[in-house]
Amino acid sequence: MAVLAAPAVARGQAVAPPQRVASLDYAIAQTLIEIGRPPIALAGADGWDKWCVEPALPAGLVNLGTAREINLEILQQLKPDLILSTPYLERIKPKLERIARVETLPVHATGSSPWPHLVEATRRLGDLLGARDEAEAFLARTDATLAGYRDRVAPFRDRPVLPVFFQTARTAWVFGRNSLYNDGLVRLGLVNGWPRQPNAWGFSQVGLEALAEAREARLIAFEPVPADALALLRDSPIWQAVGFAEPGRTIRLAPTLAFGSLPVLTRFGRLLAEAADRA
Amino acid sequence: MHDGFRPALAAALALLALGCLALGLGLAARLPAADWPQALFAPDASSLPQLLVHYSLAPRATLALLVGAGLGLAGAALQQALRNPLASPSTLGVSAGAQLALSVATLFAPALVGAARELVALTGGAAAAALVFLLSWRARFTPLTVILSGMVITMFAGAAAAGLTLFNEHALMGVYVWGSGALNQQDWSLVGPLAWRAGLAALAIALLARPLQLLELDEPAKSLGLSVTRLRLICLGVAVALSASLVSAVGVIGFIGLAAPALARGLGVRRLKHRLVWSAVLGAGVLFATDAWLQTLESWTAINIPTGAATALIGAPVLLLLAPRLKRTPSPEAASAPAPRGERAGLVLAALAVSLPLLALVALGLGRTPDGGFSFASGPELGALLPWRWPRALAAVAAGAMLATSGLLLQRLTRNPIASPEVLGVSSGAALGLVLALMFAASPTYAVQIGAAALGAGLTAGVLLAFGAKARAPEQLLIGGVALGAMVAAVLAMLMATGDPRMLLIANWMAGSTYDVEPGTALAVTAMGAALLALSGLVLRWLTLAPLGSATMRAVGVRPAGASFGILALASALAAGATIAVGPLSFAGLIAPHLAARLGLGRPAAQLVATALIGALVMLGADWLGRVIYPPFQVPAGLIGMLAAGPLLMWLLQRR
Repeated sequence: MAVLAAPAVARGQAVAPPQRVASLDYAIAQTLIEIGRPPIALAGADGWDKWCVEPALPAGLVNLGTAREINLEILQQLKPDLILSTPYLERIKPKLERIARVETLPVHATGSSPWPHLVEATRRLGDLLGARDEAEAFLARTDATLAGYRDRVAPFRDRPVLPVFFQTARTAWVFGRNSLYNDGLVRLGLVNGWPRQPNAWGFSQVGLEALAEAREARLIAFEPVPADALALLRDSPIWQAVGFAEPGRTIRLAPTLAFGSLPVLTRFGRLLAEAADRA
Repeated sequence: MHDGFRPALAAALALLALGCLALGLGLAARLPAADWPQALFAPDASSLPQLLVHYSLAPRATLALLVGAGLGLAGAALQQALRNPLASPSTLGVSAGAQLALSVATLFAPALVGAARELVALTGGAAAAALVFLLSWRARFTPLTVILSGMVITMFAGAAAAGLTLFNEHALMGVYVWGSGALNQQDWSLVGPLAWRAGLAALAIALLARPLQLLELDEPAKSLGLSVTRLRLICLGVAVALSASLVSAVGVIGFIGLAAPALARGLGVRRLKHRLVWSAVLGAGVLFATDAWLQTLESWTAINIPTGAATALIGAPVLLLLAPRLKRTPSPEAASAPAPRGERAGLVLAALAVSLPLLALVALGLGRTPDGGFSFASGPELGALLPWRWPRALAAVAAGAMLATSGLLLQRLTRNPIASPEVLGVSSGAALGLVLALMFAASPTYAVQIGAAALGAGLTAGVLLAFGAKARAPEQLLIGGVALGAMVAAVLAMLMATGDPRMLLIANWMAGSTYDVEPGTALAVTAMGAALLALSGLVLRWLTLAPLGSATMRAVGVRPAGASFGILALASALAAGATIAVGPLSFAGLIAPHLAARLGLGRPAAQLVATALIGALVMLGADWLGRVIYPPFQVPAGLIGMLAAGPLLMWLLQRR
């Protein structure tokens, strides 16, 4: 039988899709879980509940250590049959290839909108894992879910939106064009209010006073927001003039992953819709 | 009553004018000139540009002046208290210590940072200063030794902070930004509290100025009823408190405290009272002008460079200019060891030589399983795991031996017990090469990264040696090396603060990780190490003579300059090779020679072999521990080694 099976393997036919998949990236892992092919191991799994939250990780998943130093010994002992990586880890690809087949999916840091890359990556993951239908269903589900939030976020359509992650009380990352959040805003019928051209990752690192460049905008502050930053936003005469201190002009949202994949957008949409319901 | 008044005033006015020009450009882009006074003093609440001027531009400029003045004053006071023209909050490790303390607190006790931010910073800054003094105690606070200790502490504190971020990158991005000294303001809330703290410190220093002036006379001030030690300690305490307070407010603003007093002296200000005043004024001017131009740069290019990191760039040239002027007062106690005992030396060497293969066996066999258990691999299982383990283990052994030997050469040559390979600047050069490769290479593969790091290390060593051929004392060269290190650290801080995720890759290498070592690299470094270690055996004769001074060397027909150059070149090559494999943290280079001496190996030949063996042992042990201690995470060998070596070094230096 083995002799007969060998040519089939060589032609890439009738091969069972990989069952034991290791993901070295949060964005890929999110998609894997959504298309029903969860990974058995993930880099940085310990930080998932703090920075990523959704979807929930499967039970029994093994943590592979930090994304920058994947624990190769543990990865090898898990005997994966497919490793999913990003261009960010190109450096260790030769080592990973000694353990199992490696597929690299470029999504972020392309200097362009992540959405088309994410859709393509989702389809590719579906093909790789024999889950083409599940991938298409997930894409359709994402579109439908986001469309469903369009009406609910209508109260926020009166002004542009400014997605901000505070680093310190006085500096922040502002997500502009090319960011995942921007893709979400577009699909929710909202407008991003950040005028600057961001870096390849889609954000600008600025002192907070620069936020005044988007003075009409509604500020979306992703948790965790440093306590002293909020006090400053409330008390600073600049923010009082800009209006970020007024009720409803600053919205705090639970953590979402800036460099994640499509589930981030549905989560972002839902959090925004819930905030709009409360407003 | 001249005393440099006119040139100092001219310089201060020029700096102010330069800063005002930049601010004026920024203002003009926002507001018509007629509105400036209103915007500055009574802004129209409905005009956003006016509000931005009043609540962002103006407090930021005020803060720059205030912080610059505070740092200049603190620097001048430290220099007077220690009678050391290179003393400053940056060069004594005060800033780095404060930053490390705040990073640790941010991670483990965030509430503490909110409630007692300044106290945390002060504790860290004071602890770092205390360590520096402990390290230079035996050298009787020789100015160069104090500064060298300070720079080593700064490097180690920086590496420890970087190590923390390895496992907490999300949480500590803010610490990075803050640490690189961002002066952005959105209201006036910082200015008031800082102003009264700086005022209080200035008052205290003013009261101390008269007795301090007496310190300048070489006769003890005791006849005036003063305890010299107490006076110095009070002055130190005030300056350290002021620096820590500034750091906790705006982060690390590098080297203003060094540059401003140097500038004042350079302009001819002699008397202490005047020097204190002009150091503050010039410090204010330098920081104000730098910060104003960085803001203008941001408005033109949208590139946001943290002010503190930018000012650190001026530190290196200042250090290099000042170092040659220092009188060299060699410490009477050379880094030589207790009298060697022949038969015991043989026993010790044999024990070390047997330990190495034993430890290697453990390092190659013992590891962790996915479920967290320990397992001693054998058979095919071992065969599968060995490809991951042996390159790291071999590289650790080779690099450890090389760093230790490099440290021994340097410590013997300079007769300075805290000379170590990182102060050669070679690792900084390697780091810079690596960063540039990551930033600009089309595809920064491992080979490209290694090549760039090697090129950086080689070029730095070359420049340093060219410079060293002219330097009168090897220690001046070391100051050059640490100055270079500070500059590279500044560039790294700037890049880190941009938030570019690629820069986080550097953090691992900086913390001394062997993760990326490939079989080829491990073999190459081992071959290089073997050749250089053999060469080190050949310079044994020079090493024996070096601690005895140049007169002895000449007497036996050795050219001291040539011998020094040869030893330095060898030490640089050893450090460069090791750095490529295991990063810039060379705790093995610092500690192995001392351990060898403690084991009673004082004769150069035995000490050389023992030092290399100990270096190999500690590095291998640190690498293995790092792999198994905290699974699935891998703690870089350099970080493990540093945590162990720091206290050990203190203990060794105290006991000797």
